[in-house]
Amino acid sequence: MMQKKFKLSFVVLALIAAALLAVSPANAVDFAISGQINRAALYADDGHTAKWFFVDNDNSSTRFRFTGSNDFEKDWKVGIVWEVEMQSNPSNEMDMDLNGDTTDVTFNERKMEFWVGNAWGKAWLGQGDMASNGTSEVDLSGTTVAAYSSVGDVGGGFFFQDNGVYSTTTVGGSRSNFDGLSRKDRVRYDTPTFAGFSGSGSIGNSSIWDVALRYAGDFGWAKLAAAAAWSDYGTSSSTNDNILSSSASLLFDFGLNLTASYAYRKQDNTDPYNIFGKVGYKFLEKHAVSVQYSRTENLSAKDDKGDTFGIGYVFSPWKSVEFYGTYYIYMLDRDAGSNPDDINVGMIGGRVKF
Amino acid sequence: MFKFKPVSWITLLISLAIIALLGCNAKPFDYQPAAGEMKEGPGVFTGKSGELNIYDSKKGGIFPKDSDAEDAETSGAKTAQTTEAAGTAAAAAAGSQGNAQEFKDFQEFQQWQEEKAKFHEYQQWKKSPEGSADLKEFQEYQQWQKSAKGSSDFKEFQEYQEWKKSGRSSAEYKEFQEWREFKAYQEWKKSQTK
Repeated sequence: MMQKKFKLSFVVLALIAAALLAVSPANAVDFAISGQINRAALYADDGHTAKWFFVDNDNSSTRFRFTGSNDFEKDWKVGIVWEVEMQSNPSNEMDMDLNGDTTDVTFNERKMEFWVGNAWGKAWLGQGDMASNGTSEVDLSGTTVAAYSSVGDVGGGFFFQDNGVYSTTTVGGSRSNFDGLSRKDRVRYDTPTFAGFSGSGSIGNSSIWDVALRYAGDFGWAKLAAAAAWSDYGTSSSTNDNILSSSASLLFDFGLNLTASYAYRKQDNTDPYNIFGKVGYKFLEKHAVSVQYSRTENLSAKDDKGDTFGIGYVFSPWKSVEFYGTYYIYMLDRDAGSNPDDINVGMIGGRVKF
Repeated sequence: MFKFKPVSWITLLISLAIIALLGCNAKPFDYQPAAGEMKEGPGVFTGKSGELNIYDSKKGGIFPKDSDAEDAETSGAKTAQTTEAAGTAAAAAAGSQGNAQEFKDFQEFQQWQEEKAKFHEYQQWKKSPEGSADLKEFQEYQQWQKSAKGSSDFKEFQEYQEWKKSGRSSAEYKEFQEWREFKAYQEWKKSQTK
């Protein structure tokens, strides 16, 4: 069944490509490069050991990107996105045993895709966002570089310990926002936007597939953005079946913003889920602050609760530069055995777009 | 401690969707995911666009195609020649007929020739989702202007209507009209950012 879907997808894309060849030559072409550096100093205290680390903030990693597009007659457009990240000491891979820096820095693929679009929507082919990616992460707080629903991006690699005895459970292994199927090699289609609503669907290797619905509306007194998705693991996982992911964010004109997220993964024996809430405030044009709380249940083990309290602050003195501060307390409430100590993580850094 | 059932959240999402639907006045806006993504907006070295334009067939770029560069030079020279010749003719017309209004219009026409590229950018912008939402707001502003009879803006608008009836109906003139709309939009945009 899925093979048939793949074949159909490629036939559709081939037809689109053929149609493009048939239309007139390009009207407008552009090709651009952009990127950012996002570095921070991170302090972690797991109750037994405390250390400083100099990291690449995985909330929005250091990267660069090539984009290009070409306008054709009859509103046809074709574009490319090639985005690569390069992280030295990713913040989510630090742990107390680390001496010096992590191993050699390499390029990591993020996006390598092209798209074809017109008034009827946009089709994508290549490595890129699955339709569900980002559906647990809709956030209008302006503090996502400091803190957002994916709390493991900052201190995800630290192990919990109790009385100096380290467990095998990490921060990242005990909490997740279950943000759909991330980025994959896939074919994807996005509908045009109707009254703020848009839909998308994608299919990838091992018969993974997902569908998503998004909304973005400006009421004048507030902006609302929301997303929800259904993802299926296909044959890619022997334990995970599917994910329901959702999030919404409301930003009032006077700066107050509210964000919530819920995601649930159908998984053998455990069925973990995550809830997340955030209250933020944007003020004096250059400042944004937020407080958040999240709980992941059943991820590290059945009935384990991974709670996270977070504070984020972002100061943008110039439009291309942000300085931020983050504070997280990672807690683990185990169903079996005693609870390990909380892990406290503070991070200050800056993100510069070039 | 507490457990949310998926059904509860689905209900919440449906409620949000209903709220969104009820908000008939809601204008779509181009939400760009921020979490985990690259920072939007200007860059330290790349300026407002936040991108280093390697090539742009309209704006040029650091490595514009030779043929395009030649085209641009040729068209620039042609424009200069046309402008000069037209300027002479216009001065003569202004002198012989003493028609100040005509000459003013012509000056605007010259300005339009100079700002043609920007105007084409504006046309592209109008087609974008963000552009169409802003344009709608601008059109509402124009409606409001019309209702504000007696204001200097409205008088100017009436004068413009009169002038429009003077028989100029070429395609170029149509584009010129759109350019005036573009200029008015720029003024309005400036006033919004103050």
